[in-house]
Amino acid sequence: MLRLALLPLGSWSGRFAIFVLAAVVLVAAVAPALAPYDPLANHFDAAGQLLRLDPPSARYKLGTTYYGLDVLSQLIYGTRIVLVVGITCAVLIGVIGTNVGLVAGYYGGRVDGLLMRLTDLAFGIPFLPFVVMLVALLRPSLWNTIVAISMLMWRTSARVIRSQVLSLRERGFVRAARIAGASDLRILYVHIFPNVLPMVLLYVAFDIAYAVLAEASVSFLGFGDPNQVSWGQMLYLAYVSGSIRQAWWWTLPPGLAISLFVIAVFLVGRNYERLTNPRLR
Amino acid sequence: MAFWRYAGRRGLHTAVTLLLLVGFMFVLFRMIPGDPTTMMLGTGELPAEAQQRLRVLWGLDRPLWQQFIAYALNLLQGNLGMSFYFRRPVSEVIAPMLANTVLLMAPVVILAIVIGVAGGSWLGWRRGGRAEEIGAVLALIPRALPVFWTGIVLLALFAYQFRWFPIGGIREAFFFPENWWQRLPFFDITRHLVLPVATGVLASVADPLMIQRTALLEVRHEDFMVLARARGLSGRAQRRLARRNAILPVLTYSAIMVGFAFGGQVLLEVVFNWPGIGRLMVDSVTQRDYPVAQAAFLMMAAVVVFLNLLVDLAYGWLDPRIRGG
Amino acid sequence: MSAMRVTDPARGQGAMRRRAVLQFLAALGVTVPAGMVDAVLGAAAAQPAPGSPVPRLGVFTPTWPDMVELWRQLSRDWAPLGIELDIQQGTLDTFVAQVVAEQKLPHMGSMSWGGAPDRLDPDYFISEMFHSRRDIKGGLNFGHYHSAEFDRLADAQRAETDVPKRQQLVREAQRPIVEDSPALILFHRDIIHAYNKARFSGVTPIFGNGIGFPYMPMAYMGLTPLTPRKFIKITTIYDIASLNPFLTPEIYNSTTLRLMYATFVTRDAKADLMPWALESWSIVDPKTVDIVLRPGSKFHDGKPATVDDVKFTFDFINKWKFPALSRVSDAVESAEITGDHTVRLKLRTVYAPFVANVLGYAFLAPKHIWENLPSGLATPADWPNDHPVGSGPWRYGEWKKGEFIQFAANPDFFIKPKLEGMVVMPVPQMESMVGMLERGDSDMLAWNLDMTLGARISKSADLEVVRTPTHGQHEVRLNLAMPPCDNKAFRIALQHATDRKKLLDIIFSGAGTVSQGAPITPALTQWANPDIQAPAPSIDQARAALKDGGFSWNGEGRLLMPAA
Repeated sequence: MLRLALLPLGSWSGRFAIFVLAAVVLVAAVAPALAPYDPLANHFDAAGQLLRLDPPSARYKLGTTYYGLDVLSQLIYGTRIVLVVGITCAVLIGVIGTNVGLVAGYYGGRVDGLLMRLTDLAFGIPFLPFVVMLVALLRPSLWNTIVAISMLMWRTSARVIRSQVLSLRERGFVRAARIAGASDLRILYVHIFPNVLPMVLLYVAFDIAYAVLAEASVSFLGFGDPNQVSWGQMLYLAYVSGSIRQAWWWTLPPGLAISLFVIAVFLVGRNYERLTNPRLR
Repeated sequence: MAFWRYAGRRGLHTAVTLLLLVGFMFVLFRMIPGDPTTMMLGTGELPAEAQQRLRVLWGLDRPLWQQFIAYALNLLQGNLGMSFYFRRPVSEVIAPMLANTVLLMAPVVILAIVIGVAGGSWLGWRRGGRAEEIGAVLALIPRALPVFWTGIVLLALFAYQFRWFPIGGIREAFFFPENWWQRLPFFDITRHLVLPVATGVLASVADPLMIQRTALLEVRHEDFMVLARARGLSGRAQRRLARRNAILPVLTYSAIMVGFAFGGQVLLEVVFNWPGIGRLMVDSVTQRDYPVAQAAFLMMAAVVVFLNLLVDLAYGWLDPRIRGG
Repeated sequence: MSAMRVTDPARGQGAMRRRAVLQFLAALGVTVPAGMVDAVLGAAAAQPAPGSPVPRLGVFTPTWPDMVELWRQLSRDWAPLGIELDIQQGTLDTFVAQVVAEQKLPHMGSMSWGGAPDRLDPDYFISEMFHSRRDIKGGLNFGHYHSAEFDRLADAQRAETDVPKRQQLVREAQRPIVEDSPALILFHRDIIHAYNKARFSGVTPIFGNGIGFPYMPMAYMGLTPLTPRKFIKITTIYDIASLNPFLTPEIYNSTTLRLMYATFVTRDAKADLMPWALESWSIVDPKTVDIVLRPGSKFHDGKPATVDDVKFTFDFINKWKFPALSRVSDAVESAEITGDHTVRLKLRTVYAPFVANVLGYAFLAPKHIWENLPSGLATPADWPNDHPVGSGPWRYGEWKKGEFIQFAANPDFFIKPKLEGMVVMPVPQMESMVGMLERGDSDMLAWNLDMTLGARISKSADLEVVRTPTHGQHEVRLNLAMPPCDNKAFRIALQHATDRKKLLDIIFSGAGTVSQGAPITPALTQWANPDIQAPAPSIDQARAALKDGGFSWNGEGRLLMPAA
């Protein structure tokens, strides 16, 4: 198990990725101590004027936003949202996708037919417009964004897990368990599930990345939770206030932060991919 | 015979999926709080009696199930209904936006697949080397950038800073060419296309690339490749053979990509002010213009589902083992 | 699942959802920054018992960044009163759907009302927002303000056609609004537009319209080209939805179409009423108005415009009762031709803003076109009207949805445009609009700029920024049906705790007029009441007002409801 966890450290790209992810987790954990200011506090200059779009300085290392909020503090607090969104979505997607895949692949027949039609349905629905629709239905909030993202993104892992289960179902150890009188549930979760686990983890890893990108996109379209200091929300506000070109300190950091995080997740995923598919090694 | 039975079954599945979709969309849109009759007024005023007249006119006063039956019957006759917001047939609203999106996304999809297959083949052939490691990481980077951010950065550089390309839109309203090359056909549209297409390709090239690479790596171990090597085929001939046999997964994927291209590129359309179907979809949702939103979602889903059907049938035709499962 | 249940905001479900988020975040070990989750359990739903803590107050606000910032400020500024806010956001469409159409305002909500020309007459902001008659679904009195005294004054000013007398009534009607404070009217944000002065001269800034909005067509009449290109390119944020002027009451769409379909009267450069399709009008008695068509008027297809068309227009509107023109059919009982150019309108009731809001909104429709529509339409409002023919200063050129709408000058109009044409381009993003103006891709930016962008644009030698005051306003409406907002002392305390000047400075760099607490801007001197004043900003006075009202505070500083 430990060897599995340390696997990404075997390559330079993996080491880089682990470093980035560890840094994000660390920053998120100590955000209040690390952030120089409250991310939602307005800052004023000595004369009492609002520090609107103030360029980076010693006091505000990444400058200020249109309403005089400290960009660096927002960036630091944004790590929390990224982790909450990434992990929650990944767990939800993992749970739904894995179970749909397991049940459909194992039982086959009508159950399989129905679940696969649902999966086709999920594939057929355009992702962002659907998320926007759900958020309109449920009101913009972080939790609703998470729910909306998860409601569609399980589709890929469900399909992949199902095809894995289809081949595992006919393997000797499953037949043996069945002959020994094991219940369906036991066979599914004790015998088959461990064998698809690497695949599940792989997809969960990629889902973290896609979920973070999706949250940023939803926020950018203006359907994010305006109370959150998410990186996507920062970009949205920079964009709608027309400050993209003027305030590079407000535009570049959140974009780079999202990209760095997503690249790191991709790279970790890639290292595990070699595990599930030895031919890639 | 077996193939036709398989085809029939898959066709039936497709029909069931589409039917589920129609029902699902219908119910979902009507769950969104908000009366469509209030949507056309912004913050203007509309007396309650006038609103009720509208509701009757638009058939919203009838029970939900009656509305659904009327909708489904119309749909079967190819009638998508009237847009609440535009008060025109939905097809008239959707068609020009769809054309604009195709104009934008066709080059994106084609370029992404061509570049992806070429790059993926190159990487796949150089497995394990440092070049491959770096190449694979490089290919992942644009995929990791939020597409709207890539677009903004490209705009900031090439439209605002260097002023090589326009800021957005699909064409300049009343463009007057100033010299011979501006007079070339499609000059105006082409220069409007460059940045959004570049952004789209950057965002979508990684997937076909990685798929092609993986497929190529897998193919290398197949018997026919071992045989080819044993028979002493030249490196170039070997590569060509491998590429041809590794192309299937990318073709499958391109079906998905075409589907996503129809509706998934709202962000490109927003950043580049491109009047396309993605923005129409999002707008019609917020405006409670159910007929347009439903039709757009449905059309998009139908494209995906049919492309999947085609791919499945192609596989079934080529590989008899699939027909059973 | 019944449709009824889901149209409800489903408060119970919402609370559960929020509780789930909190628990979930706690389980992850995430400490939640203030306001991170819009959570309080059972907010708003329960009636707080006497002496119990005031619940967290529900707030509904549109998602616009300025509104989000407004509530960040107010949460902080009101915290010393011992209250907390539960802020929920929605798009403008959601606001209209839930707060206006369904009358489901939580404790309070914020909105900004644009400066449409029909809101220049004080009747709109007075009657529509605060008259008890408009406390109905779809009405704008969604804060449920009921005051017999105010209703009497509001009705009286509406029925008073003598201008000085009406002025007096309008001024008196503003007093109960300030005293009862059913809303915190905050400020009137200036309209800031910009244009390319190297290419065009002769802009006409009009109160409430700026230089670029289509609300008042006189704004475009003076535009003069300085370069060989004789048409102007204007960017704005919206596209129109339809070319049919009978369809939509939405301000932007309806005023854009009225560039082609001349209204009977319009507003001049000083925002005073002036005849437009008419040559003159006269009030015969409070329920009879004679209107005189401008002789020699022509429609864009060359056919003469006659009194037959005028009569037809009113009959047509009365026959079809178009929702978008209900104010016309509600006001006009009949139209009779009484001379070569004169039509006598009989009104259903005495309505003081008749000329401004009915004759300024109704437009002259060509009989020969609307009489001969294809059959099979449920209503003429459904006709696409792909080639609008009106009698206004601009003729229809081309509309490409999402790209542009193009107009050509109408040389037959009584004031000849100095331009050959106009192209209006919808550009949904401010960033792009500014960029297009700076690069010369557009000549006028006709959407609300803020001071920061304005200052940036002013740096360019060719560009000029124009600031115009407006009667449009930002307000916070309080729900008087929900404790503690039903308590006048509480409302007065909120007034004291709200520093309008500071808010205007932070949110709009001070570009605007601070409100006196009444819905009429002080800049509109003929209607504003100079003697009223919003409560002075002072936390001490706010706390004193609460104490006088029986409120108290617990050990943690939380506000407690008055004891029974």
